[in-house]
Amino acid sequence: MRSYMLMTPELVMLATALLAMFADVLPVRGRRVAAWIGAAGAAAAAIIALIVGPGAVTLFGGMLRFDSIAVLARVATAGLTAAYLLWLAGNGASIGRAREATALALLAAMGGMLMSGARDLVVLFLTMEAATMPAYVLIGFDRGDERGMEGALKYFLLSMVSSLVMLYGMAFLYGMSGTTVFDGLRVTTFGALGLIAAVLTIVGLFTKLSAAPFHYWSPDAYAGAPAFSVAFVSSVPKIAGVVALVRIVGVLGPQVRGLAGILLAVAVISMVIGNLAAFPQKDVRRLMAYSGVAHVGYILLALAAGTPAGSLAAVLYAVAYAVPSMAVMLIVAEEGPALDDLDGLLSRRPFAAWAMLVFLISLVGVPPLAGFFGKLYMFSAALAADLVWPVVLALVFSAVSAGFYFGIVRAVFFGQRPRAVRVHGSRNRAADVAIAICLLATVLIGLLAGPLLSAMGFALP
Amino acid sequence: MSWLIAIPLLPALAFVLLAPLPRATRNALRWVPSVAMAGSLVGAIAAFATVLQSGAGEKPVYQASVVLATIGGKPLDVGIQLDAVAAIMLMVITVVGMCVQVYSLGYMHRDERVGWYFAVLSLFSAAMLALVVASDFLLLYMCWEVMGLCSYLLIGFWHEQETPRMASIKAFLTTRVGDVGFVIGLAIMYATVGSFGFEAVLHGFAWTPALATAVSLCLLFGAMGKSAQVPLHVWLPDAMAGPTPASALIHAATMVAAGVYLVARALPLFEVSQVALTVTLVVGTATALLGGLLACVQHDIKKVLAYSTISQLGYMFMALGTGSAVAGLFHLMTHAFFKSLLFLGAGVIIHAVETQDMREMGGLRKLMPWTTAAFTAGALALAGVFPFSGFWSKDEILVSLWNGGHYVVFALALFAAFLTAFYMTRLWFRVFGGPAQKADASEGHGDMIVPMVFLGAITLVVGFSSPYFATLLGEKGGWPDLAVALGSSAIAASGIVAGWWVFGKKAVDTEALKARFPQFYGIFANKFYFDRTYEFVFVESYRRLSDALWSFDAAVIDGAVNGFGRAWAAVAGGSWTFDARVIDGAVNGLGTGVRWIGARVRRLQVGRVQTYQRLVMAAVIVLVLWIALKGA
Amino acid sequence: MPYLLTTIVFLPLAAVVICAMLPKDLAGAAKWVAATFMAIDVVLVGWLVAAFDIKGGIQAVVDVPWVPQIAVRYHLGVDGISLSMLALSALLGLIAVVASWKVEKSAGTYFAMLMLLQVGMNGVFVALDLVLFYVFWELVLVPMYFLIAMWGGERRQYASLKFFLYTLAGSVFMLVGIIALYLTTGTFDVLQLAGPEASRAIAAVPGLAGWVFLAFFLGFAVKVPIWPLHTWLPDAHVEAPTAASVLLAGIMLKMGAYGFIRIALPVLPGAARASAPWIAALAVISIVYGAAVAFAQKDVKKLIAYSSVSHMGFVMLGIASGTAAGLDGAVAVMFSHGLVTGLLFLMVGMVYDRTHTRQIADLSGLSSKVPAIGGIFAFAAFASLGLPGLSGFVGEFLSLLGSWQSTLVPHWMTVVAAVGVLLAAAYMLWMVQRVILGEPSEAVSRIRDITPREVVYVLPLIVLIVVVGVYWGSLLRFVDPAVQGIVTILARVA
Repeated sequence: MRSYMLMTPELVMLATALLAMFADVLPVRGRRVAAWIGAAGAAAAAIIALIVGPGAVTLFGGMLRFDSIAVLARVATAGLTAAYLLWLAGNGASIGRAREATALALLAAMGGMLMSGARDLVVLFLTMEAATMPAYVLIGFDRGDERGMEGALKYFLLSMVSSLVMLYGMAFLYGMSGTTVFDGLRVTTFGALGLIAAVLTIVGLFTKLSAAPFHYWSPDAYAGAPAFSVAFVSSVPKIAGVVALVRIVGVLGPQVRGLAGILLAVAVISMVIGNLAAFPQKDVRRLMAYSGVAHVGYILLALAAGTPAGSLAAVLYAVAYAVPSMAVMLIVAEEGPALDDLDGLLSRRPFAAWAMLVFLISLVGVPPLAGFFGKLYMFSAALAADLVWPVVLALVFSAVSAGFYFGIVRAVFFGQRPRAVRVHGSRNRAADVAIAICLLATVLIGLLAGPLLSAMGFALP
Repeated sequence: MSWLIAIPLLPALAFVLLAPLPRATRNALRWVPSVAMAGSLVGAIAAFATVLQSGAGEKPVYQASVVLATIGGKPLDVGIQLDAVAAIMLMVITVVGMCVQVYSLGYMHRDERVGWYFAVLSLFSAAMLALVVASDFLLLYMCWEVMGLCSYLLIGFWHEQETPRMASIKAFLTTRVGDVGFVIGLAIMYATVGSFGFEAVLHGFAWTPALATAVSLCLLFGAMGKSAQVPLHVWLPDAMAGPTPASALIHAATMVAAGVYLVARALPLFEVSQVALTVTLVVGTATALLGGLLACVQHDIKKVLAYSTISQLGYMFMALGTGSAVAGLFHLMTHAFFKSLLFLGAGVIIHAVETQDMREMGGLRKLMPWTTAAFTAGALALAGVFPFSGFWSKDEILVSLWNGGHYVVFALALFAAFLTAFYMTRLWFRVFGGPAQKADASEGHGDMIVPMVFLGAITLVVGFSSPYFATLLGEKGGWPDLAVALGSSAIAASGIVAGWWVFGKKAVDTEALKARFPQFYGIFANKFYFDRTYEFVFVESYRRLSDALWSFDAAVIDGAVNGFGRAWAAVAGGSWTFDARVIDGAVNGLGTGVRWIGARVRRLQVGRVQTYQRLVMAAVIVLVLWIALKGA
Repeated sequence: MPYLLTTIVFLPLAAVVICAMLPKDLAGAAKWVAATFMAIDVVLVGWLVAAFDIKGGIQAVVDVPWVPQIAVRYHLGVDGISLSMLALSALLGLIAVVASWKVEKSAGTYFAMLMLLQVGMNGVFVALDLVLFYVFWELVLVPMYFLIAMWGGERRQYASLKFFLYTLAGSVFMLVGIIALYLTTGTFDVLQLAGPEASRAIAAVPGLAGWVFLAFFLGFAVKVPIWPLHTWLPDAHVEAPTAASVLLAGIMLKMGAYGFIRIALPVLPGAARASAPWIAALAVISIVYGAAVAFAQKDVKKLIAYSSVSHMGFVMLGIASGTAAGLDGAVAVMFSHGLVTGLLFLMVGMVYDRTHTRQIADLSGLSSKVPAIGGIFAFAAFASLGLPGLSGFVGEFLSLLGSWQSTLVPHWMTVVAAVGVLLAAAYMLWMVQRVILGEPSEAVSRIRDITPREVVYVLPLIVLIVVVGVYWGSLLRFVDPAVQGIVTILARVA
């Protein structure tokens, strides 16, 4: 019974979600109240998750276990959600139906948190769906906007297909091993069929993480969706997704020969497609979608190393990526999705402008920010596994990626446009606080990465 | 006797004092360098005395050095020393320097930047003095370069005009061509001996002829630059664009002699490699002749003196080429006195008649007697007429040539001597002889006349020191060989007679000669085409090269960088359009089959979505097949 | 003492924070803040120099774990070489602040950027841990990008992004090298990596040393810059504001050369020796090529930019020689080039402020109209063409001696390099000829001479140029012992 305590964070999230959904019945009035509650709840969940910490205990007969990786993922997911909702609270007025958004974000986050602890194929699948479902709605949040609906529908159908494929693969795995529990799978030996099964399983995750060549949906879907939804969907769920990938690769990698090769191939393709296709984009949502593809590429590279160090680095980087990319999209959500909507942001909102710069150079991987250390660990792990040329490629690309990120910087700092007249609704400080939090995280994650990793037992050969 | 350092230091301090001051103050303080110079003069006399009573010879009577830096733990030190050579050089420089300073006070007083002029003159003297007391090639080279700077500044003193500007840069660069050799020589020296000290390099190390040749040729090349030897002589005539007193000190008496001094110092090294000696001899001879010939066709009085300087320097190199430092240095000394005298005289004349073209002069002997007297003394000395100093020194050189068995060179030397007498006579008659062309031309200031008279006196007497000079340097000296003396005197006399016959008596119409042999004259008029050749072969081609490289840099190297950027953008654009188009293409192919989907859905072009699904499935199938084929 | 280096490095960061916090109407105070902090910084560096024990090897060491999991340490320390560079960096930093006194356009940000740049520059020269080194190395990019892109000339956008991408792309290769070294030896510590144990580990992996050296080479060569990786330099120089040009030429170019001396040579001596002839060849090309192209320039700043390419060639030649003389020379050139080129850019800045042109064609007769500016300008020019008695000569002469002495560099290269000295005289005098001498041109005709503030910030440079040039020991006494250490390491593998 005691061990159920381990699930308090998720429960808190769930409760908050319900609360937010029915915020109207609360004595407190106001459009932002839901978001405020959500933020508080998510923050609480994050803290609890941190306090509860890792547990060796498994729940439901080995279906869930929250090891250190899971804890990192939970804290990060909940924390980011909190920041996100705080921002929502700040901009609540400018966004209709803040309640729904809050609830959906919380639910999705909860799904992700559970997912990060999943130890069983079925649980993994269910939690994954739980994490994804709300995302569909967020993507299609503007009922009026057809392109939004279109994006939502695409996203929905695509991930349905991928889910089916995934389920198909899982069925194979079950058939071959007679179990769905990871520990059971770990001891099975698979033949060539195993590889097929593994690939089918993983393809689902590739699609969810929008790794090339399974990324087609994301640029369109994001470009169709309201920026504030993209901010959440494109960043927070990725953390749990990477964790899930880590789990499966961790289980099947040793058994199934050739899996690493496929990871590597997908990694390289993603880096190339993402970094190249991002250049000509004029719509920041699209740009960030492709840059997301690229970053997933880096992460897969670390996974391809097939070492614990690689997996840890991958998860860490997922966080190091999620924070700034969410923050960037949040600012975009306030200013407008086109590149030249950002023109002259410096003169309008210096703080936002400089924050934007930090987020972007962190994505480029300039020290001493989160992005740099994330890459340092990932590529060290990859190099340790003798993936020399992929790493060189990745580094060159991450350097060149500065090219398109600085497209944004140029707009923000040197964009020559008469002071834009954008209504920030009744924006209030909370939004800036949220961005400030992301800023702090972007700076600190890198510097605190050491202790974090040691807590998780990071070690290179 | 640590006061030795004071000799170069005093003028240096004078410069340091004057340089940072505002122009007006500097002009007001223009006497300071002269005072400093006087101090150095006293020091030089004292130094000379010390050397005399120590009866010196080869080895220095005083040495001191400081560690400039430690390189790889080994100290690299520079130092000063006093030996006979240094003492003599000190005397020459300070005496001539003093005269020029005093003279300049009169000559330059009207110039608005006179203060700066004196400051630079002072820095120059400091460098030259330091150069001759240096006890190692490094310090020598450093002073050498500083002198180059001063020479540059003084030649280009009137930089508002084009000619001096161009002359100054030409001088600096041409001498620096030589310095490239000098530096390489130093590098070899350091790599071989690990030191620059005269003692260590010249006496403390067993040189192989090959290395000795390499080093000494490098040093010789440097010396040729400074001492305007063929083919690096082109800068000296142009250098006459500077103020005349500066020319007297730098481009006649002292700096140009530094090359001679360097070779004289390094002579032991040259002797190890006979090759270097021969080369020196050849270069010297060529220079002596070329200078002499060209001096005969100049109309600018300073140019005549410039070419004669070149020719005389050639003489000194001949002497060194025979391995006789004494003869070379002795001629250096005498030449310093009488050539500076001639330049100072030329200065007065130019002031008086306000032109440098000898064709507009003439008959000045009546108008400016003092100048005429002094100048004539100098001219006779240069022509090598007994008892003037030039006679003695030229004689020693001829003797050493004869004794060295270089009979051809000896003959050429005599011819050069003839030329010298000839063109000096030409000059004399052009300037002093004939009818006066400017009635108003008048004698110069007292402070311009006095130094000239003083130098004239020296010129008259210094020659008699010839035997003691040799003994002082530790060689056996004696009175010149009578036969040679008579021979050279005869040559000089014939030169003078010839000159009188042509330019005094006007027995030959020079214009007619020009007309008769135009191409022959052309060669002279174009200074044997040296400048032309350099202009085309080096300057022009370098200018073209640098322009070419510049456009290469912009077009090719930077073009590659930008090209990479553009290519990247293109690839990026392409890859994105591919990313989008492939789908659209598929859409057009497959979109038709999906009409039945509900109206709302149709509006959303779900065809795209199905395509996505197909694509995903396709990707999956491809992977699966690939794996299957790869076969576990 | 243990906190001294940390303070020196991060003191400007405090200035950054303050300058960034300043409200709009107080932006004028930013320069005072920056100046104060930099002055303190200079004083501290002075103290460090005074307390420095010349025979004492690496000093003022701070060495604490930073990221123990991957053995990243916060390891700072100075030896003679880094000390000289640190001193240069601090001094030029202060001068850059004073030289920017008239900057009005969003002054707060400007000085914040300047100070942030300072943190990176100070840090690079004292970091003894490769990751830390890399952090400082990259830290420099962003502020420099903004200094050029916000306060630069017409083509600032192009130049700044070119600078940023070019150097970033170069440095990622260095990162690969750093990681590779770590994975082979298990340490990022420069001193340990130079030790026998690490070198054995590196030697154990066939071919590794060569590849890692190449990686480092690419990273450093772009910064130096070595031909043909130099084209970012002229653009950046020309577009950058004066202070940025001073720091760019004075300090940032040295980071590359310093990287070679501090990391590439001691850690990979074998590869360094093997590649010495090639590096020397590139160096010689840089010398002659830079000089030739400089000769063709019509913009004074561009001319100086290309002269930097030429001078840095001498640095690389000295480094390639691997001899004590050569390395002493290399450091001497680095130091002197910092002073001289800094001075040159300051003078160009003064002229530009007054005449609003940098075109040689429009400038003439400075020395007649404004003797002080003209004179100091000419002084800097002569220092730059390597006149003995001024700092420029020391290094170039020594690196020539070293390269001739060296068994790794063919003699003909030394000869060509010596010709480079002549070419340097050619382009510098040709510039002096047209800009400083002659009759005052229309643009020059009505400008006023140097102001006291300007005197204040050029004077220290002039003094140092003379002091170092006259008494070489004043610089080399610090440098030589450190150089000997490197030479012995190189000799070990010979």
